Amino acid sequence: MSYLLPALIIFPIIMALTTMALYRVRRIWLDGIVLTAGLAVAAASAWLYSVRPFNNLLLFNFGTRLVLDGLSHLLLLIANMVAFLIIIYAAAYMNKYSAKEKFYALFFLMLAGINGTILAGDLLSIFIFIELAAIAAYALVAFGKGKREMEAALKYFLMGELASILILAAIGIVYAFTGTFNIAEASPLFSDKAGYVRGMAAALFLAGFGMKAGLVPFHSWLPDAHPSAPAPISAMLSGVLIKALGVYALIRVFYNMLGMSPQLSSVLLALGTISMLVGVILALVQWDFKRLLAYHSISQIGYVILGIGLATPMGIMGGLFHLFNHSIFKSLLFLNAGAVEYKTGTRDLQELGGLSGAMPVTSKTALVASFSISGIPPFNGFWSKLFIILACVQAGKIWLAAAAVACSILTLASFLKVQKYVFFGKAHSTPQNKGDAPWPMGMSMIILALVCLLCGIFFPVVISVLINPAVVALANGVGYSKMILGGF
Amino acid sequence: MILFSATILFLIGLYAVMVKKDLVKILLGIILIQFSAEIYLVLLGEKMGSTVLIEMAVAILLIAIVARIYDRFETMDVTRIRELKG
Repeated sequence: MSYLLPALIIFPIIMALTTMALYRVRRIWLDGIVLTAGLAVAAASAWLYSVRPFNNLLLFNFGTRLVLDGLSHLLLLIANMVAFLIIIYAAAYMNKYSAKEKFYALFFLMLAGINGTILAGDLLSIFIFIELAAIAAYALVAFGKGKREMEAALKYFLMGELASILILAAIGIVYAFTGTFNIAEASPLFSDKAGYVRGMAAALFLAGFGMKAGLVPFHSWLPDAHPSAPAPISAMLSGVLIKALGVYALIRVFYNMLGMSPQLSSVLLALGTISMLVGVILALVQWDFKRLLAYHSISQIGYVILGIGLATPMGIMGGLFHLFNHSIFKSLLFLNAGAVEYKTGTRDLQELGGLSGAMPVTSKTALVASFSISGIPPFNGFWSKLFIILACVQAGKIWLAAAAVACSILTLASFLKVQKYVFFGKAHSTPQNKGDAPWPMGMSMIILALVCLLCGIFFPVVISVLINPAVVALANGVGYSKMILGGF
Repeated sequence: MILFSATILFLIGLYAVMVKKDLVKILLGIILIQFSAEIYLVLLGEKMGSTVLIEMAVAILLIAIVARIYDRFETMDVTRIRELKG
């Protein structure tokens, strides 16, 4: 069954080419084909759970080696499930844009890049797939073709390319000293190299992937790029792209190739804590709905990096669980913001108000997502934040735990502001036409809200089925290479 | 010798990106940085040459974005392209 792995990369590329050719067919057929394809990809990534041996690998060789272990499987499931729900939403939302087929084509190219980054087993393939996803993302940010969109796309482009060149330089160092791109083969060869060589490679990887993830010293593109894209793409960028291209690639390289050291761990802890606090403080002063959400993405990625940087099993578990949760509630929040913009034509919080009556589905799902992101029990965000804070205390880092608690309170304050100005209070502007957003948009928002609630109530199941195999893969550390090379 | 000229190329590109205000010059600076990176990588091993294709796609998209920005803003001066703030 391992042929499903290349299929998950090649099928979206074929779909991208197909949708480009479908510009003459009626919209309903185009939507039908794209929805079927999205469902197929999502179903394949879920079905692989019954195929992959528990806590073990699934490998496939075609020129490059594709590896599916617990960590990549978690990311693969998130990416394809969220992508499917976003396609449902976009089928209605993107009707206000022309050239819907080009949107779908770029979307599938991005999905192919994300799946490739997650599955690739060698550094050069990871780089190529990151570029594939990033090029599609630059074009999607510029999709609206207005002044703001073009400026955001240019900013994103310049920062993204700088990050890519840094990553490429790091890959060049690894290749120059080991003669191989394969992560599993390079790991033992690279471990006995001089300290400054390893340090330089680690610093370049950290800057490059940190830029892709939007960590704080490298975050300046994120609050421009994410709000400027169409709402489904904002959800995809914040929910999946920064995690697959940034966080996943970072922790894969750090844990499984370079090996975690106390120095690397403390650098990650510092970056995570700074991102967490700076992101949420900047979010508090925003009045643009989507820009506020983008700053919260920086802050929540800080939580993930804080948890994973602790390098204890509990910390990794909390970080990965938060990564999973964030991709769900942040996609949901961006879809809510898109629905509000779709109906009222504005995202300025001061011009909005009193939408809870006019848009019941949007306001209720937004309430669920706000509770989730602020860490209110029993929603999923509460448990993952709790695990991260407990792990900080367990590791003896009381100040980091205090920072995480403070950040959670500020997040709650920020989302109370959103709820007050958008959904409650007096109606400043009447919606252009009565009623809630079209039903496909409502459906995908309701599904995401249900996932938030169910993953919160049944969190032990989620952790044992989805998160723990990923924790095992990371805690295995540089033993990863033995597992892969021994597997043949 | 080749390494030396690649380094010079990289520094010129970096100077253009950091200092110049004209978008076309920044664009050319980025392309120069990419060229120097490619020279390094091809020196390391022929396999790295496959990244050249990617860089080409990147350069083409950048040119498209810059052309579109000139359409919208009617200027190439980056200091005057400031719609987004906060």
